[in-house]
Amino acid sequence: MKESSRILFYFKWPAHDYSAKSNQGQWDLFQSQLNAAQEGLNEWTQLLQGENLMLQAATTIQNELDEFKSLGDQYNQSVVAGMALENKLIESTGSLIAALEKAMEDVIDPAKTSAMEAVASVRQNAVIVLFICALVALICGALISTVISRGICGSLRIGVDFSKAVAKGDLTQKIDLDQKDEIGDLANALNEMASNLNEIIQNIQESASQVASSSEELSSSSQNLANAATEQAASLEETSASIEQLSSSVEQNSSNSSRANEVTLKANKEVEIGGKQL
Amino acid sequence: MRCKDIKIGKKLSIGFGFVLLLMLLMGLVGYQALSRVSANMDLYAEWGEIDMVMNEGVIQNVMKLETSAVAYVYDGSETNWNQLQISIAGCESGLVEWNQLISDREELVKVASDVGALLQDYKTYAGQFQSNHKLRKDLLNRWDTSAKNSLATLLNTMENVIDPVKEKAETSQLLTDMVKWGEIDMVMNEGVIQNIILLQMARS
Repeated sequence: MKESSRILFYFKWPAHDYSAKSNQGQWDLFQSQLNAAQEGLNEWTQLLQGENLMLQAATTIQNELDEFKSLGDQYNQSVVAGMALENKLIESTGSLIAALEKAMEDVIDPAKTSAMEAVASVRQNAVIVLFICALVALICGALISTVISRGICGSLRIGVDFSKAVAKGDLTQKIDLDQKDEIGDLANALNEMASNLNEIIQNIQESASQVASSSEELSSSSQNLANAATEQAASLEETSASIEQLSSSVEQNSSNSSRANEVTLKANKEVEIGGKQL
Repeated sequence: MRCKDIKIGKKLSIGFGFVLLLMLLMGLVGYQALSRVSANMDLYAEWGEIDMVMNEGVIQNVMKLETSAVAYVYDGSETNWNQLQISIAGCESGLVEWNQLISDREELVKVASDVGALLQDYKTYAGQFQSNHKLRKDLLNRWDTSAKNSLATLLNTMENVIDPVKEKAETSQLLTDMVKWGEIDMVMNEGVIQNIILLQMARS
């Protein structure tokens, strides 16, 4: 019994396992066991009447039991206080997390969601606006290019047709454009050019007819001149024959003169010889 | 002025100018949209950072705090107390970092202030719990000593007083004394010692 009591006595469980709150049944058991021990002690004390030494021991045991009981109460109170503090710690942690989660749910998450929604909304609006702008630009560009190209090409086509007609020689054509832009200026210039060309051609025609009549006159004059030249050639031939005759006569005269000269010279020499001889 | 009377250069300029204007408008719309998207993305990133610091710097540390507190409450060891202090310091540090990020957001400044107050309360409770734990430990030791003393007194009484008297009575063969001390011994064993041992068990 001594050994078993010592084993049980030294068998300690962790202090935190004991608590009046979570182990109320154990605390009640402890209390009832305390009462039982007290009753046992009382019964034992009654048996010890007259045994002073034993009564002294019983008193010591009673005092120790009272101290044990008092310490038990204190420990119980401290356990209760500890539990309360544990609860406060748990509640504080819970409050901390709850406050942070509330801030997250009420402020941070909505702000993040709002920012993301704003991004999505802006992106969507931008796409729509850009699409509309692109469509408007496309339509306006098409309209403007059509109007401008028609304004330019239509008038130019008239100018081209006019040029083709002029190229074919029809100078009677005229461009009828009532506009004051460069094409209008070009049309006016082309009209003026056609008009001037027409005038020039008429002048050329007139000059040509004049040249023709002059040519005819010139031709008859030339014929006359030719006839006169023929006559003159014949005269010349006659003159030439006369000149030839004259030439031969001159040559005869010349040879005669030469012979006369020789005779003269000979006579002159004989004179000289005769003179010398004299 | 009729359209036909406008110079070609001017017409082309007007046409290209109009298209250019539309392109400019589109560019402006795009730029504005991009700016707004960028601003909102910045805002989102800012809130994301607040969220991240709150989660990693505060909530995670609070959870560590909870774990440390449970561990400390469980065994009350110095190691776990130190771990609890480290967790509290981590929470405070995270809260300071978080405070810097939310200084211009009134709705969160109040939350941070509340969290700071709760953390201070937590520190106070932790300190009180530590004191309480020390007190309990001390009381438990005293309680153990008291129980030990009670049992020792009983055992001592049994060994030094009752047993010798019982032996003497048995030796003298006095029936009344034998009955008396036998009863005293039995009551002491069953009524006191057993109950005190059971009391120890109940205490445990």
